[in-house]
Amino acid sequence: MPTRHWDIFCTVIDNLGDIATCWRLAQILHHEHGQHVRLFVDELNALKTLVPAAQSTAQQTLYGIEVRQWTESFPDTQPAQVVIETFGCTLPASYVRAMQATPPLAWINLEYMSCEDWVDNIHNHDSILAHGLKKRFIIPSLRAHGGGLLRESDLLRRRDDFLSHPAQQRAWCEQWNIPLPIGGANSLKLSLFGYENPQFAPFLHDLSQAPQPITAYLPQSRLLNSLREYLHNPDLSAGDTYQHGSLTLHILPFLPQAEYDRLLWLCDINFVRGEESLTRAIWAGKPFIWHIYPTDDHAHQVKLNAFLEVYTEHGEDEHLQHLRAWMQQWNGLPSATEVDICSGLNMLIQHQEWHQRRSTELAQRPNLCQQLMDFVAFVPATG
Amino acid sequence: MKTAQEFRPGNVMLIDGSPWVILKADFSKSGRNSAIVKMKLKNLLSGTSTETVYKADDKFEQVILDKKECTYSYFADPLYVFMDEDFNSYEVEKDNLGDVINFMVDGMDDKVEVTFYDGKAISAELPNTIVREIVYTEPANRGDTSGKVMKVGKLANGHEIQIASFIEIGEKVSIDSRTGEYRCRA
Repeated sequence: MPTRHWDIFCTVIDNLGDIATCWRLAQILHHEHGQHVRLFVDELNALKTLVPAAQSTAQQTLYGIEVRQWTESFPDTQPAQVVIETFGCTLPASYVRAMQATPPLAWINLEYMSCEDWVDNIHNHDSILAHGLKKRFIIPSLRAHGGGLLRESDLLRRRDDFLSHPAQQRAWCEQWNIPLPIGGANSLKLSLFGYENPQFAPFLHDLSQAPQPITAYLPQSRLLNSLREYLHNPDLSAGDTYQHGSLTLHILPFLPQAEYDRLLWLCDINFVRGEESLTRAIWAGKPFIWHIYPTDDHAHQVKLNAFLEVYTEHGEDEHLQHLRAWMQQWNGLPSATEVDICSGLNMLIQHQEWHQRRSTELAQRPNLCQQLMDFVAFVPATG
Repeated sequence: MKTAQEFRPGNVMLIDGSPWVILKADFSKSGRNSAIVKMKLKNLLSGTSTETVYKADDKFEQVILDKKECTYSYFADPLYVFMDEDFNSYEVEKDNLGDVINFMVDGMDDKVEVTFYDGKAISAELPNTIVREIVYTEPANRGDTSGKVMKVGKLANGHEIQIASFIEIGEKVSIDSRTGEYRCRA
């Protein structure tokens, strides 16, 4: 496809998932598909957290992406050929007026991932707006007729390469000051990334009673608040280690987006939050427990259960039932069975291959960025 | 201006200068996703139909058309015939009624608002709350009176809805005509 100009609009609401997804999409569009991408984001600091090379300047080029700060007084801007509004953000009125004067080739409304039934009914449908412009709804999803997930084309190859080279792994751990597991090969490695979670305290207690040594890595996130509360120590921060019984827990600094994958690849089981890190956990091919973003209306409960059904393909194996129950329990939902943490860990470890196979299967499907490229390539007319 | 979620079947919205009547509107809300309304629309000028999706807060101008309060008389395929208090009859095409036809039953005495465009009856709206008889349903599970357990109930026109498990054949139920959902025993 010829090089086209894309504008991606992102507002940072409370966490980093939205900008993380937008940044990854911009990177794939540019580096894999040769597209020219301009990313408008309101909170540059959020981008800096993920991409340390980002500056606080209102306009910059970062790894080939033109990044602009999205300010309230939005300057007159010539719209790109493809416009993506992400996660319910509202485009600046002046920009929409400019689109009416020069309609883009495609205007895309990118929503959050969902595996619920309604996705089949909404994904890939057009919205015919009051001013006559059309906007295409795209819903990332694991559903067969959904929008897929973001994935770099060489991601699984890079993962497998990293995992088959222990020297690379050691070098990476040294580079990021990540302590190697205590107990060597017998030690179970967990990564812990999440929101504050009342399930965390009993979970840590159970880990400390495990029959095998457990090394847990907790990159700075809101879950650290739960650890501080559990240990009555508000000063805990990156670099600190907590050791009790079988458990050794290292607090890591927040890892740049480009490095987080390697932590997921190294660990045996990953605890992730939101949708960007969920997606990366799926591609890591390791068992994972997802802490979904909780909403006040409890709509996240339906969303989590839909995800679990689709991800596990409605499987009735004991392992899959167990996985669903644990994820429900981790999110405070009613679950069919009470999960014992230690036996739960062992069951997930015994079924690592299932997750690797599932990751490979899902990677056979068109990924989200490819679907966007295909849509733009075949879109018939402007307006 | 009204938001997409405020429109309902039978309303007419202005899109790119053309009036479109809403034949069907389904609402979805999931997690952090925008609330989304999927609509089936018919262009009143060209007669073409389309399906479209909107964020619930997308804004549109509503076209206010003449309306008349009528009662339902009879169905002569493909036309539903309504009558006003002066005994004038108006025909509305079945395809223009969208989900309204799910609740059209012989002998119903609801006041129906028939909408006119260019002198022609183009759609009809039911009251928000309607009462219909359940003509068939499976027996209830013994002991459940919570109203939380649902089962299928059939209306006189054959349309099926989810109703509370304690409702029995011959009973009347209250239905929200906008969503098609059972509300309570009438």
